[in-house]
Amino acid sequence: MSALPLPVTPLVRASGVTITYPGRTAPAVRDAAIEVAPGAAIGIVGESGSGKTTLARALVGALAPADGQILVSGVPWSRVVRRHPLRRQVQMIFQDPLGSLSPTRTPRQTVAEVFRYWDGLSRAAADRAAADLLREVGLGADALDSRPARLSGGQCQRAGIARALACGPRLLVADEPTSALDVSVQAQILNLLQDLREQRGLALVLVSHDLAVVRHATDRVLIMYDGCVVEEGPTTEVLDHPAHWYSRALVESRPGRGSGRAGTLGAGLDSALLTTADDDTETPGCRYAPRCPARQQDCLAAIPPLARRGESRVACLHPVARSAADEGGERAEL
Amino acid sequence: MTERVPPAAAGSERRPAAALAVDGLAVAAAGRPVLRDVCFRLEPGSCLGLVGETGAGKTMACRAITGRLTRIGVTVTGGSVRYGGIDLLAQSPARWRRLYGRRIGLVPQNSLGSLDPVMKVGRQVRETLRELDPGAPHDARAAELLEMVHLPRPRQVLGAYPHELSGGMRQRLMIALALAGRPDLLVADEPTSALDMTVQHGIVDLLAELRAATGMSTIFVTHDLSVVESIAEQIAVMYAGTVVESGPAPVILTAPRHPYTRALLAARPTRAQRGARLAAIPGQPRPLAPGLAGCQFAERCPLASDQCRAEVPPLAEQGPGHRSACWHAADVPAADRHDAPGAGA
Amino acid sequence: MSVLAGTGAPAGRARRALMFSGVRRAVGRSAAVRAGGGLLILIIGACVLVPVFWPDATNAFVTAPFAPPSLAHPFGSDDLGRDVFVRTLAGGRIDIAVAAAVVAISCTAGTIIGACAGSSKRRWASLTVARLVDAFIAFPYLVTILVLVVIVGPSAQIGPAPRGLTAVLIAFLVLGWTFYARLARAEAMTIRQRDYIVAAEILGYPRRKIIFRHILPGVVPVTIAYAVADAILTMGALSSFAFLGVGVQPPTPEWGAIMYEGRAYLDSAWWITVCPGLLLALTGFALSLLADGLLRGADD
Repeated sequence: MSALPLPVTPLVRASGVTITYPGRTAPAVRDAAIEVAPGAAIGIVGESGSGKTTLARALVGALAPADGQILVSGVPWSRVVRRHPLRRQVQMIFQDPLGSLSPTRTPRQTVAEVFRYWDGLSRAAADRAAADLLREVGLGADALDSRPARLSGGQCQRAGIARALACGPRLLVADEPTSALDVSVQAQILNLLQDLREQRGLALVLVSHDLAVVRHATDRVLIMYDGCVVEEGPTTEVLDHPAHWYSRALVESRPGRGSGRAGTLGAGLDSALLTTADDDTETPGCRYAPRCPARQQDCLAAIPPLARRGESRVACLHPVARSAADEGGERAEL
Repeated sequence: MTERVPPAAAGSERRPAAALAVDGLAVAAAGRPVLRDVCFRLEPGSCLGLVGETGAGKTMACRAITGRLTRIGVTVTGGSVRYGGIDLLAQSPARWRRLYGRRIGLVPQNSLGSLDPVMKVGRQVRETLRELDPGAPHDARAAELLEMVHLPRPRQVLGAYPHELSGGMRQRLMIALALAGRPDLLVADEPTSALDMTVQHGIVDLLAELRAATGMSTIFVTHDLSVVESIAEQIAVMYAGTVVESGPAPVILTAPRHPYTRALLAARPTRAQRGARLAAIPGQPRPLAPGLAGCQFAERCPLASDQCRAEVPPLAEQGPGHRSACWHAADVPAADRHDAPGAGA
Repeated sequence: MSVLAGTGAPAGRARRALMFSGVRRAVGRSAAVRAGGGLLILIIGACVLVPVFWPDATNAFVTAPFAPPSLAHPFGSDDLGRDVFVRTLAGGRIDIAVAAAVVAISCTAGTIIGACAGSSKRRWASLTVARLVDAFIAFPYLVTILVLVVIVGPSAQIGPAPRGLTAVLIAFLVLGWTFYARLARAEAMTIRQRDYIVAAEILGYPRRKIIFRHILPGVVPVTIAYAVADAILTMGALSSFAFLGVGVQPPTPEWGAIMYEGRAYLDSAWWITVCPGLLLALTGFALSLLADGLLRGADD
């Protein structure tokens, strides 16, 4: 690996990314920016429909943005074709452990295929390398040659992680890697990701709706609402002292706060997701304005840009006052 | 919460809830035991959190309570399930048709799979209502039910197909359907597992609110202890087809007497140990292994001794209403409050 | 089935066969597949071997006309005194060989065309194949085949194929692939959305590798199961051509041709028509057992 130039080139740098799915007028991701430095751990938080998975897929080059650009070590994804070495730099882990593995292939075959393609290993050498790597991620020897359907969720997830690691990435994008797993297995996978970061110096982008997981595993966090990044900053800062009203609603949401009524604070996008035609039309202004308690007339003019506020950046014209946020933080402490 | 009493609560001829007692329930599927000696109780009008991971047998236990065992080729090999004066295991299919939906309601696990994908929601709601009460005015009742579960824009919801609703809205709809016959016991089988955190919270609060308004008993099944923290008065923890610990929720959450419960509580990331290694349970959850002598959890348990591997521990009294099936119950360290689930948010 | 069943096997060995793994699993598990397969092998074996060793030649006049079934001539004799038993079995060679060839070629071509179309990221490529298939399928299958057979004509001949067969083969092949292409395209389109295909794209695998190594293994069990059912249809269609005066020309024995020749004597010499008909039905039954079992195998 060549010496890194100074200042450090980000592994992935996205700016002004807008993605619209065919047949929809409302973009799934709007003007999003994110920068992942080597070794960083960044969380992307949001609810279903917030665009966090779409942004994650764009970061790994699986989706081309309609607008804006995504650079991987300074090179746009569109130029990373065929066996371009930068292709190896970013890999992904998926939410559904079983669905992310080819049903007809064993973990050993899946991982060996990567070694053969990228490192040109012989069949026997690739099989050995695959077995070693699968052992490293904690997959038992009896699971190496079983079909995915016979494996548990945790075992499938380990195989998926090994496949991602096999080409030697420097950044893992994990899309809800633990939300489909049993609680006791969640902790194993989070520990594994932590170990891999330390041992291999990996950077991590962790997409999740689970704030406890994001707080545990990341240093910085992006909060997304309806395709927009509404707040971005150091994880503890943002989660303890949210400045955007949506971030605050998200952080303070927990059972027993009277959020039984859909559409109130904390119930978030849920009730707005009726996918009928009239919901697909665009209204100008802050996306959160319709449910924001601090909405004012100027919020409806245009989507507010991210503005610096302390160590983080907030896309809100009337952010949560610091004292109120502190109070929220205290309450979150339990 | 009192100012939000749903309108349906008034004037409904709901029976008072009875006590549910599951004693030594054993169930076999295709000749293979899947539940063994399952015991828990549910006081009238209270909420039981039934917690367990993959293979624990939570769904099978729900089926036993809602009369859906025989449908899937499963046989009861022992024990009893009594609801008030009724032996639920001895009811004929005809009797079940009168119990199911009317006295015992079920919110199924998979909301999308439980709805007909090519039929509009409104028709499915009306069909359910017609089956329960052919004479009643269905349109008014349907709107009333949707309002009860706080589904906004009822007309739009009723005119939509199931896939057009979000996961949270579908789950609210399933709750509304389960409540259509005004049951006095509601069994919710993993109603929140597929949902976002914030939506989960909304569903939990909705169930708490409905319970307060109607006085029905609730069984809330989940794989995540932190979900039932705010709603359940009692918690029963299942592992590999048996109940390993049951008792009052505050006791289970702070002073568990089974290593599995303790480990589940410790496995969630918390604010205190941010970035540190989590206390993961080695190995993976699995179904009941009938051939195994001794405790099912022994293979993953930090306290396991030779006795644990040789003899099945009985569900023994640890305190008032608190029972644990562990030979080393006294040695289980208390969960300090920082480990409490939910503290990480 | 033990969880550990596959542990000891070297990973490389079964790699080629993985594409048919769904099929292999079904064969191992299902009694229907075993019964259907066994019956089919028995029928094919008889058709291939019996005419070689049978004392009577297929086109020789060996006994009196209209002799009823007996030990020497189990299916009796026809209007010219030919042995119906050996003619039926020899005819089976043609019917089964034509069905097998037509199905194998259609299935392979259709599966690959459909899988490529369904996997393509270019919308127009996928849609072009879909519209083309729709256009073919819009015409009634048998009628179109008949028209094609008539257009090509009974005299066209390639290699040693019996007279009339070439036209039939061409007709079947022109239409046959479309059903497979439609099935394969639909299946490929659902598989394309799966996370493991996204993972393969992120790993930078070339498109061809993704289609042939990742998407196709999911498509093949579906089209193979349909192929078995399609073989029944093909044999039925082939046999019915004789009644319409097209298809394999006499005196070459073929099930449809034998039955057609015997139709005039159905009241006096029923065996000429019924015996080949029974064998055709039996073959169809064996195939449907097989298709049924395979479809169930492909599902899990």
